[in-house]
Amino acid sequence: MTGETETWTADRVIQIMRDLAREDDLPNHLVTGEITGKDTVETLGIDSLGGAYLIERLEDTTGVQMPDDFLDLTDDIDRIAARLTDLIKSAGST
Amino acid sequence: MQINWPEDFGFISKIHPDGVRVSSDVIASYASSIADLLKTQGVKPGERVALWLTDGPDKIAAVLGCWMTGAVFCVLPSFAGNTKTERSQARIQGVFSVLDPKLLLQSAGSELPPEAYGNVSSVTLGGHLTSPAETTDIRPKLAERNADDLAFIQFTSGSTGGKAKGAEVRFRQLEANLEALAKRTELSAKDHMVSWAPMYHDMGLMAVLLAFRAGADLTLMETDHFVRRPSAWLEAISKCKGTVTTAPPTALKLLTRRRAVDVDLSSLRYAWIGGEAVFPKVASEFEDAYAQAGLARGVIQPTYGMAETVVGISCGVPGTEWITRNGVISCGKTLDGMEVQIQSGDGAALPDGTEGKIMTRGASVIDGYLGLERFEKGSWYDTGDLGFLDDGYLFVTGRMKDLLKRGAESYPASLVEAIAEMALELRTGRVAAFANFRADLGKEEIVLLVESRAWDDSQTRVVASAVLGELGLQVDVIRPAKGGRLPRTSSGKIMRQMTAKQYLEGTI
Repeated sequence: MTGETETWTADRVIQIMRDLAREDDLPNHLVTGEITGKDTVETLGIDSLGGAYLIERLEDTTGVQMPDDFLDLTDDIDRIAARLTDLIKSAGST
Repeated sequence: MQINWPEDFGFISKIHPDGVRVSSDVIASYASSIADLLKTQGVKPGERVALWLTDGPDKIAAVLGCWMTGAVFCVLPSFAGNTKTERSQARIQGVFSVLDPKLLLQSAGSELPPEAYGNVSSVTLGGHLTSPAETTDIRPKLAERNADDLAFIQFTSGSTGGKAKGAEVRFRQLEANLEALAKRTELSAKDHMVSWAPMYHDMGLMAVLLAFRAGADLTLMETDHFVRRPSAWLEAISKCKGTVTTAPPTALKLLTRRRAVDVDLSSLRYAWIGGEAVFPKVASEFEDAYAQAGLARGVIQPTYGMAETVVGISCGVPGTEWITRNGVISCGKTLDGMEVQIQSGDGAALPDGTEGKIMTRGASVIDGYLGLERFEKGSWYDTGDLGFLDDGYLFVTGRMKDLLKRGAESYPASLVEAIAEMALELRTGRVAAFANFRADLGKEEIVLLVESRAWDDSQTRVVASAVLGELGLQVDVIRPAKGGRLPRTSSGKIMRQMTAKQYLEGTI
């Protein structure tokens, strides 16, 4: 689960989004549609409720609690991955 | 308006995540100041005041201040702050045009874009609460309101002939609904209401007014605070030993997945769940998830109602477990003073167990919409929903009206379609948006089908992004209709209900 050296990539975040879309928590088109690290949460059509599901899954996967302001709908996936990596590093060092 | 004043009020927000208590003397004093301000601004009894205030003491004081002067308040809907596109500007301008307020009260730091309210006089409140020099009893002023006076205007998501629909709620309707709800839920001064539901929504506003009515303690959480950290709601109930709360099923579903830890819900005795379709899966999974946190069976109570009936039509009795029929959850029995009848398409009353249109009438049904049609006195009001009765219990099975709901927010299907058509540069009438009740998922699936023979992923993305950008709404399914055609009437109008039926059958 967690690790000081764990690095999150956009691909891992995208995979989680696809899983959530398969479970009908995120829009259906994210199951197979093209998603890149430059896509933002907003342009993918994910609202604040969908964002809450995404945070829940990220917390569950990483074992790290996300801060309240973790997800900005205008963030792109590359940035989300980078913030995740930073959070896991800080959690591991404390 | 009879108020049983609580001792103090609790407020939880981003800047006060652990909550602050404000004494009712301070709120009363502030309400008096706002009443004085309204008089200074020339607001007369019966005139309307628009409220765009952050959730907190300002908003509570403003509601009371309006009633003290006889003014009619309207908590503006959330979309008022969105003027990103011409269409969204027109939407809020439509609200202001119908409301025609004498004054707009706003919170410092979160003002409306000026284009939203045009020439309406505006005063910004600074939220400077100070301990009053002497206790002010505002109840005599509030008691001056007559039963036929307008209490507030609540805008629904729909429109008629392009005009925004503001439900006119009079004190007699409000009192009738408050009394019926308080009686059914056995609400008393011993209770403690915890709510994060927005006050522009009937559930959020009534949570506050019910507490006033019963003299119950009240803890209000900023809606945005809940959105940022949903577990804060259950933590607040745990901390202040909340006994009564309200939320849409979406919140239950979310908190079943994103579980709050170290919470004690044993104090909770009534959770009024509504605002969107309630599915058994959602209620039972939440009950299971928090059983160890002390949540008792019979606390989760699916309810049914709408702004046109102030809020409540039916709800359960405290301590009794909800029941299901044919996989549909019951929303309890009709409240005192209200009647429900299930009717066929031609208006005939249908027997128990037969699905039809849910019609209602009674003391809480409003007289009409501001500046629009009046309802015929004593006649049945068509809720636009489908359901059946069984031994007095109401079961809601679907929706005839063209409304999409997500997280208790309502969106007109026609507006979602118009946004999609513009994004795709299609002519009007090429898109159908509808809600598909998915009991297996415990949610309303929002579907958007497009008449198009050439389709690729980029078009889906364009629509998803456009609808989200303009309405903040996530659409679950966006795709072309099979065969490239949507069902239409003989006059060429899209048949949404038929489209939804064919979608369910997998033929479109």
